[in-house]
Amino acid sequence: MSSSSTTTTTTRLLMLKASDGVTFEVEEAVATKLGAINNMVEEEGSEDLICLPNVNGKFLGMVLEWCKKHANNNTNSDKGNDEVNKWWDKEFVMDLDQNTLYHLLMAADYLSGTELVDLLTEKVASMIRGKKVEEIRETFKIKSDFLPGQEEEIRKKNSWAFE
Amino acid sequence: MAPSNKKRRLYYSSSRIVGEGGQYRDWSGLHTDLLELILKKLSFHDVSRFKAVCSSWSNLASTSRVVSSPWLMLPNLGHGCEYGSLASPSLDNFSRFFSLVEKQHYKYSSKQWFQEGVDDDYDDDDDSPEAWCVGSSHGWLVIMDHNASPLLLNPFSRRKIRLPLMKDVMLISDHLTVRDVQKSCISKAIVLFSEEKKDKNKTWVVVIYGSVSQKLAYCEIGDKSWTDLDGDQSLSYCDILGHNGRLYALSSSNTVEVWDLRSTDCGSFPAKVMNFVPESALCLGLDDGKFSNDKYFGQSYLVESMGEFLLVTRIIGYYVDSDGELLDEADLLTDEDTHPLVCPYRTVAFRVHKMDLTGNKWDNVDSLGDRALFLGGNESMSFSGSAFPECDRNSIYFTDDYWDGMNGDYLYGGHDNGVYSLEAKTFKPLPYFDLFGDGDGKVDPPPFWIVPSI
Repeated sequence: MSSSSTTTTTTRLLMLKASDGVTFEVEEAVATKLGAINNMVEEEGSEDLICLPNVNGKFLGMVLEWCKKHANNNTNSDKGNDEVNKWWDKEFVMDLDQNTLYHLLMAADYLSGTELVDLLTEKVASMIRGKKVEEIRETFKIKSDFLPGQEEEIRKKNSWAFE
Repeated sequence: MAPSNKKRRLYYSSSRIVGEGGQYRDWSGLHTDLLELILKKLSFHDVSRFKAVCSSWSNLASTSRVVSSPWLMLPNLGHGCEYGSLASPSLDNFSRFFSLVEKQHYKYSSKQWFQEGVDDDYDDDDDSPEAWCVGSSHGWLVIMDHNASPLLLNPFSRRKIRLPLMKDVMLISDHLTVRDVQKSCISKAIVLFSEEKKDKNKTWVVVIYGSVSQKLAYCEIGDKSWTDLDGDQSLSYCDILGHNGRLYALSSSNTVEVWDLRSTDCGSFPAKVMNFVPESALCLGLDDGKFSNDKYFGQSYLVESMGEFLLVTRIIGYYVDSDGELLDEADLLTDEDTHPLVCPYRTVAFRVHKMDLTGNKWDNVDSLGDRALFLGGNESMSFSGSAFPECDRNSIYFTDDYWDGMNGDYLYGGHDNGVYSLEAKTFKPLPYFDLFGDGDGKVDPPPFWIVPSI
């Protein structure tokens, strides 16, 4: 927490600037759900503008949207918060296509949003579970880069998993 | 951490630029730490397919330690499950594996295990008895093959490692059949590593053997012969357990002898580093009338769980009816009916104690907390119920390993499997066990727990 916030109850606002120049005005309590922002705020408390050159506006916006929901839900003292968060998380990841999911995961990781990374990697895992190798490649647009014979070797070694 | 480091975190690594045009890297190039997070959420089965997607995923999955909860190895459908089946128990029967987490079973063609591979001398002769499992440990099965010669087999990677013949046993057993030797020679076998997770790992196999399970022997992988351990041969051994390069052997008197197998490094004999001889006898608290001691017996297991050594006593009634009542042998015959009732042996209770080194005694344990124990012919294991939600906490998952009683009746044997809740003190069948038609009758060969690993 910044040292200047002790006298007033109004939340401090931070400006976050994405790589494409898009800026977001967010409450400190929301932005500090991201480990990377939290570290910067703690160390450079006076800075109100934080530049994030490695993430563009679209994905920064999505990450902040998630933070905001979670920050709001957590301020209510309602016991059903966990349920609300879970429900909202489910909605949040439900319709993500693999391309958005990829960039969102990179953004969440870059901003050290541990909880969000956990949510998104779970989404990725759910897209892998029970699928055949070809289906996984198709889902994630991955091209096999094995040398000739390599893939057969792996399949033979784990043949039970492909039956 | 200095502020400059943290600031740098946000600027560093151009490969992590997100959403910039032309900077898109596909999933195969995802950062290792993220891929590892994903991997941790996948089952053993999914990881096996994950490996075949692309080379970077394959490399990562091959070097990561994927930990799975135990799978159940079951006989094949159509074999062994029928009453009075003439088919000899065979390794070919061991061709179904049930994954607790996926609630699915997987079929294997286990004959292939023997037909392929380097040292193969399998002759596919229907008359020769097929293999018999004597242990399951760290993903390896310890198998007595059709010649009663021991080998290690990983059914998932299909790796096989020949072990030295048990010469002493073969000599005294001229009058026994191969089948007898397979079943009676080794009563339990485990695989033991010098250190967990290290590449330069020594691997040993340790066995309990002898006419009354009074001997222990070990061999290092590659050895030409077994070496006896200097155990107290006046005892018979109930269970063996490997932990951090040490061998823990539980005797029927509830003593625990410990050897450090790593001390064989200089060619010397393994040092006996501890001999736990409890001062007072174990109180099982069974003197409430229901358990008169001619109606039951105890089978003991040693389990390492959260750094504690647990002694688990499984109380098995010789004759138990469908209501769980213990009967006398005489009760099986009624005046009206000359056919004895079929009341097979059955586990009726468990007691748990933990080793108290300072007090030199076994202390009673009422709850396993978060843990689930897996017992049977396998090396005993403990799993966390929160890390593996498919495992019920404070419970004991057990399979039948009452070898002496198993072959006593053609109607049953291998049937004594289930889950015991320490809290409710109740039993339930193994999850989805009935789906496979194994039910209450003979399960031959009996199921084994195995933690899959490649």
